[in-house]
Amino acid sequence: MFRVQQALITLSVVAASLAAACAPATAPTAGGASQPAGSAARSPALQALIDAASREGQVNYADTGAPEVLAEQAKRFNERFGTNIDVELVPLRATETNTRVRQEIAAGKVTVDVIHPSSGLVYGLIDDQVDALEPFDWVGTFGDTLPEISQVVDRVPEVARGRALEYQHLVRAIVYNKNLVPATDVPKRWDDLLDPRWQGKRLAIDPQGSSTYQLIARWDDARVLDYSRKLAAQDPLWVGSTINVARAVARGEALVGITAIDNILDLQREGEPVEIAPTEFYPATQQLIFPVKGSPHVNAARLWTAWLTTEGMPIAATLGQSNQRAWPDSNSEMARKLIELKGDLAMLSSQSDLERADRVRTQIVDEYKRLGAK
Amino acid sequence: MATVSSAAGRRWVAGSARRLGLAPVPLAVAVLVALLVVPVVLVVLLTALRPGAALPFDATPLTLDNFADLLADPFTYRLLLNTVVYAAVSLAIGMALAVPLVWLVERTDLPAKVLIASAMFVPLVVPGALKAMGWALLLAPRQGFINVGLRSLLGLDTAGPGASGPLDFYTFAGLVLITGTGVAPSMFIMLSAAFRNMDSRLEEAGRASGATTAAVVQQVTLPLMAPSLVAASIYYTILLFETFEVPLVIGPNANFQVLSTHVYQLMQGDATRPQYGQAAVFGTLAIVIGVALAALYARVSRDAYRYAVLRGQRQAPRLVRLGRGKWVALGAVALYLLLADVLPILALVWASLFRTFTPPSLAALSGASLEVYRLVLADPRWGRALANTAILVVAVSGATVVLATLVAWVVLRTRVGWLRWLDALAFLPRAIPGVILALGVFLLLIRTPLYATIWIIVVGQTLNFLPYAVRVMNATLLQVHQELEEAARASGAGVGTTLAAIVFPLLRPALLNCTLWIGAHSVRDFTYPLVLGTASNTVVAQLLWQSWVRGQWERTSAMAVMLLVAVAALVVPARYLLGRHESV
Repeated sequence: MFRVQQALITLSVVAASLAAACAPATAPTAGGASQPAGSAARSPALQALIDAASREGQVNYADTGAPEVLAEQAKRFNERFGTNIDVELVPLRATETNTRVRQEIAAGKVTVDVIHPSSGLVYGLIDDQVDALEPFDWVGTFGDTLPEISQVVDRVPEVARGRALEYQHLVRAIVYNKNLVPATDVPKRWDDLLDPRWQGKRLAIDPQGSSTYQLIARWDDARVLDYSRKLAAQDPLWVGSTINVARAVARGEALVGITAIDNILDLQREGEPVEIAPTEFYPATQQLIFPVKGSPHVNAARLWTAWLTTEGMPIAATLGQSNQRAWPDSNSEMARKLIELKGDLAMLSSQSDLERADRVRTQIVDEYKRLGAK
Repeated sequence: MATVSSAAGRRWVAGSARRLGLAPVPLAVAVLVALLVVPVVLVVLLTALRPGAALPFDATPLTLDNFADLLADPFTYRLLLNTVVYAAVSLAIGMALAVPLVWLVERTDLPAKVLIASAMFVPLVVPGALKAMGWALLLAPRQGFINVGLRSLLGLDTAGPGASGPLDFYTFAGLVLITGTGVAPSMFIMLSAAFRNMDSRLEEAGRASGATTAAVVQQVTLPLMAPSLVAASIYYTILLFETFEVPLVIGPNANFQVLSTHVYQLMQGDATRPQYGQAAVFGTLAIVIGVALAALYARVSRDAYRYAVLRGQRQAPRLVRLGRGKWVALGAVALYLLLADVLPILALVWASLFRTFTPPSLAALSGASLEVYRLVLADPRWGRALANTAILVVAVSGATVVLATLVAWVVLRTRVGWLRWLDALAFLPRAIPGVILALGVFLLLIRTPLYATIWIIVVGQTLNFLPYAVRVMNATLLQVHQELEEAARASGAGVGTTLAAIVFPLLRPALLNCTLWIGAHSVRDFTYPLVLGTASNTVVAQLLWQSWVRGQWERTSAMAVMLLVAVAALVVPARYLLGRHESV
């Protein structure tokens, strides 16, 4: 009996040794996150971040994208790092996140982890009252695993460099409904929108100033403000967000509008009858993405942010997200479209650009707020 | 049995009232309401004295600059004038619809009355913004379903693509029509309880004396209903003063801005810094106006006990026979319900059946599917939002009705000097625009565990609906003469027993109506979820609003339809059963 027991024990030890020798080379670390098979060795800093992110288990991401797209992105993200982080969608527009972040930082109780406003709005989050961005060593932590990270760090305007990453580009364009606008009437220049034929709610614009403030990329402040006033005098269809402008034109509720190119591309993919009007330039701003200072899941936020801006970008494109980067070398759908249009991409990127953007947009919105009480 | 007619009895009542003033129940109610209302109001006033985007407890110097800027700006007065005109016209439209409807349902032999009364709850579920959206689908100048149909029918398409009209929805007329027809159902509910409790013997006496129905209505019914009508008018004046969902949808394109939308824009900041100080100054102005109206209401209702006609005995009213006119009346009511409520809902239903905007046609019907519903149901936020909404509705309606009943009873029955202010205090939240009150709740509770939970929205909505509930219970309790309670107390019953055995059973129809009303309004409220909502306490209203501002009309429509079906399935049968019980 004793010999049988000895034999069984011996056999068990041998079997266990064989199993250990054949197992994949994954080593569970503190916090439970394991490296997926085949991934490159991670820096200790990155591994520590992944472990901490896993313990946090959640990241609240402010975005207006489709939930089903985000769910797929989150799945790929977790597969990449061997984590099980719940990516919660907080459906706030960029302008709404500003207000929410300011409120919560001032009260010391931040609930949104990651936001991605345009650079023009980010400037308003770095003043003395609200300092929403925190420095972080993105390249040192992610450089070995996500080599593209250094590019997205370097492209950020100086005022936010090291604290935010370049995410997407908001490129403004005139959209028109190709079923309702004859070819001869298609606007060719920004000033063409001031033509009387677009009066009477034929033109859709955003009352939050997003339709026009980026024109400072090529015009001076006075001209942009004057243009904004003249657009308002066209009795436009006021539509409360950029994507809604594109949808209003797609529906035929308006015939033309000012929106972002990615919105037009998304709607074209859905079969909507919208087109980009060829104009003399296409003003653009970067969307900067960053973990909000004081957020409750800061490590998960950093991991999500770094992945979204690097490996996450082409994945988002395959999932049908048109909002990408517009640099000619980015090979995104948006970049290819701009090349096809022979468009002059006028990017707002310097600190003075951002200051002007902040100032001009504030003036436009303040004037628009006073309409309708005559 | 002691009665108020004897001097000894009057001394006994006065003594009892004094004793009640110090009793635990009145004191607890007063303290609770004060703790709910006063800090929020103080936060608003403090914010008005801070510059720019400063928060109320920031270490910035207090300043009157916001007040000075506001009073010196001509825009302020134009905005106020717009708001007064908008509120007045919307009120007139609402009353012109609600009062005749109440009379038809409560005093005539109109067919299907119980069904109609139940159906009046259904529109309450649909947020004003969504009804406006439904009308946008119908009457948008270029692609609205009705305009497309009319242009085709009348041969008006000669203007080519891009033709618009003939009906223009984005006008002042469109704004007030949508608003007025939107408040009529809740006016109906508010007034019907008072109508129901009014003894019809006075009206029958008038008819027995040979007066025509019209004369009886004019000389008996309306004067008897005057306090309730005035109360409803005051209440809805304040509500319309601060309504912002419909003006937010229609106002910008109608080139008509009102106070509420301007305050909301200041608060949200949009692309600029939020201007809490300026927003709070408008809030302070609204508080002053609201307090004035509340004082007016108090003056009107001071002697209203003279109209108390619900005594120890009550009998069902003798109904006015409309004869063949009842079918005309029924047709008119059906037409109103169709135009005001059914059509925009049908527009939402149609829009929800297509992935992209599709005007109605028989040919398009073949492309209808439930794909959008599938997408919405697959969204994990939808299930969470439904659960949160259910919690919100139950908690808000329960807490508000109980508290309001206690407030109304304490104010009307104790008649102790300082407790009269409890009525004004409970009404004060109504004087404050919802967005300002929500901001006050946010600023007050952001550092507490309530923040980012459903309970912060419960607090906000309870504050918001408390004035309405108090008014309803006030109006109902006014119809109940004190002699019933005095009889109980003279027999030795304590305060609690009197409340439980006499007061609450008498008020049961109004309590249930009020609970249903508040629950329906809680679901449809956008203000508090938007201001107080975060990722962790999302309710359905937030999802609806977010998809609407992104132009995802099909998703918004699908969510609205699902919400409407779910709530109607609960509210309509409950209301129907209640109506049948009351008509027995």
